[in-house]
Amino acid sequence: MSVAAISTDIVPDAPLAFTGNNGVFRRLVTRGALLELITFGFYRFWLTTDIRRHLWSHTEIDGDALEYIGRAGELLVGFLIAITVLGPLFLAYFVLGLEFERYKAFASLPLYLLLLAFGQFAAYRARRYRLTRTVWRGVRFWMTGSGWSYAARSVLWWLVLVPSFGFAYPWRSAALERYKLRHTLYGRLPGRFEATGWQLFKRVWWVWLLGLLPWLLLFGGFVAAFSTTGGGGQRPPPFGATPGSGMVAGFAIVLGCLGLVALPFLHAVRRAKEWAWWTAGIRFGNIAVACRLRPGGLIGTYWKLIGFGLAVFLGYAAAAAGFTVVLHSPAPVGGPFEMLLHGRLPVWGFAAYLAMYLILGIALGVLARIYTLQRIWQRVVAACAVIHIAEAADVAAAGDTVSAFGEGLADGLDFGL
Amino acid sequence: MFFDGRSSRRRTVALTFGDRLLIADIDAPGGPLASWPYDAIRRVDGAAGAMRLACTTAPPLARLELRDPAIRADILRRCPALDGPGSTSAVSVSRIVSASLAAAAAILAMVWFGMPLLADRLAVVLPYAWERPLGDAVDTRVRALFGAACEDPAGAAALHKLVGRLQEAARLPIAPEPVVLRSNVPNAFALPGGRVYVLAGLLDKSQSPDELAAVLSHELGHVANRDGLRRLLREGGTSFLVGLLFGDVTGSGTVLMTGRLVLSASHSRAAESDADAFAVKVMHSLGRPAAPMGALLQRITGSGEDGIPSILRDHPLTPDRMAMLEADDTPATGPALLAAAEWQALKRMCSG
Repeated sequence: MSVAAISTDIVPDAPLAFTGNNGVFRRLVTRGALLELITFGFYRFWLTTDIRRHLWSHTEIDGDALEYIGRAGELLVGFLIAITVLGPLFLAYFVLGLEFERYKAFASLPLYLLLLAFGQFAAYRARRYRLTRTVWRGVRFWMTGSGWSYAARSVLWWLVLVPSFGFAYPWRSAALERYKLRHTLYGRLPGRFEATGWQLFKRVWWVWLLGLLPWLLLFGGFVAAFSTTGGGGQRPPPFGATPGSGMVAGFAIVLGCLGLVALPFLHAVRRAKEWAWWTAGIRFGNIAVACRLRPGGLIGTYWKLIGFGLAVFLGYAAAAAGFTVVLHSPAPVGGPFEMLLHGRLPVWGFAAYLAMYLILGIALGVLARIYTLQRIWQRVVAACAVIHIAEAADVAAAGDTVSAFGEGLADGLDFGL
Repeated sequence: MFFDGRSSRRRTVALTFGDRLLIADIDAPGGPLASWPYDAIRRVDGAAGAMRLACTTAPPLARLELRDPAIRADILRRCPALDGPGSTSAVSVSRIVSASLAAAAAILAMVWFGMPLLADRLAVVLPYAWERPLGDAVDTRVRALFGAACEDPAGAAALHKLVGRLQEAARLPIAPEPVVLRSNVPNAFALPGGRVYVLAGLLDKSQSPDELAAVLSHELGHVANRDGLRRLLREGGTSFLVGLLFGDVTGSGTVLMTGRLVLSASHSRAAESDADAFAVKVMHSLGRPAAPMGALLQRITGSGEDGIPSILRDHPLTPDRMAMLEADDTPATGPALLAAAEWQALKRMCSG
């Protein structure tokens, strides 16, 4: 059954709905961020659990809401177990890195790849934890497969991706999603992934090229500018010493900067197409998902994120500048910390700078969670519908829970929800 | 609506409130599907507008969904432990906060007291040979930062002679390897593994071999006490532990890093006075006074250029240090460390 056939011929019979309230989520995340600050970050396990519970329980498939049955305590335990593994690993990484650095500056690359593999292993296991804690109609999702196998594939594809400047990304995504979904099951119903890399490539190649363009323009422009200005000596300047080449360089730079403004649009379009492609490729038995997400559907979300982020930054800059003026301090020497050491800054002044910086960090974190997580979830879910949901009417339960080890690793390696 | 936790089949059920909750399928006559004791019923996350219940004695994923307000009121009345263990009741935030603060305090105490102790013990035990890779690793970067080495043979010979005299008195387990780098920052430092760097700026500002020798023996004191390794272990260990345990949350990380910097500044004062004592000891065993170091440092302070990372950034000239150095203005009892010609060669080393 091809993807195109699904979206035009068959009418979806079960809408997906997101019933969550933006304000409720915003309050949840803001409160959570403040608590994270007070508890030195320990609250993150509870916050993550609460966020997932909110998102899951407000997502309804055919009228029945998903349920997240994970608990913060599991995340905490997973994290503690992960530390006992990561501790020695990081130590070994540091010592080995030191040793290799002596021979070649870039000999630490293999070690970086190893860490990357570890990260992918953690991501697979974390996904497994999350899936086994996802219940719909009393039946659990679960996963088979091996985290290391996935990690190996991921790293091999990465080795293809980098030399190709991202060209191979669609095929990499398809291959990894195929592996993940082949090993995903709902009860006794196995999943698979039927979209191909070529399909994704057809939709996003122009976005990718347009995204490269500003960088190429900027790079070319700067190179040209420096060659014309510096070309007075022995070597002849590449553009010839014509007055027009300086203008061309300047023009390229300006175009490049304008192009940078377009990047969020391009990113939003690319993400929307990726979501549409991915959801259309999911199969559980004969059940499929149809996604009506328009390519421009996520643009508003990303621009709001940028807009609010900029506003927060400007607010912080204004506050910090105003504060400096109020303190009547002379031209600052070094950062606030050096000034404190040299006795030029009263302790309360330093505390105020610290507080402003912390608020900045919290605000940006909250914005990121709201816009890159919840809003996107909301839009994608609202645009999707399930086909042949009748197949899910009587799926036998299967599958066991797994520990939150992967989540702990992901947390220790600093990435994840 | 009932899901029995064994398959995804959705059943419409009728409820009977006997001495247990009886759940019977409307469409399938016969015995009840399940009977749930009231005190085992728990509330779990459901859709808005529906109360979703689970039961601790039933299959773990069995769910009952109620939308009728009257039935919900009934449940609320009859089930004493709806939000007990196994439900998704709100966790007590104050308990989490107090537990986190306690854990954080315990970890920080361990780090504040335990890490320096551990670093000290470890630094003494680790063989000197292990410091070499550390010094080597930083060497290229130091040279990139402070310029190329000054290669004048006469100056190099003078420097080696000076350091050789110091090594006779200091008797370090690793022979120090001094290098002069072409930077006009007035500073000198020693890295783990015995590498000693003198920057041309310090050569310019010093006016006698005693001054330079005193500063160099201070740096050699750091090497002897393995301060570089100790500091690396302490700070590296601290930031490693803290980063691992507290995660990468913005905010708490910054607060902790600030504290860590303050911690390392206070600890290094002890290392500084130890290195000063070492310098005094070495100079005295060579029969020279250590006070000239104070004069040199004062000269550098007097130049008044505040932004430069002079030697004072790392070794502030506190009143105590100044007093200690001035008190050591004893006349020289030993031979001069360098002949006048050698001193001139050394001073001129980087002007080529």
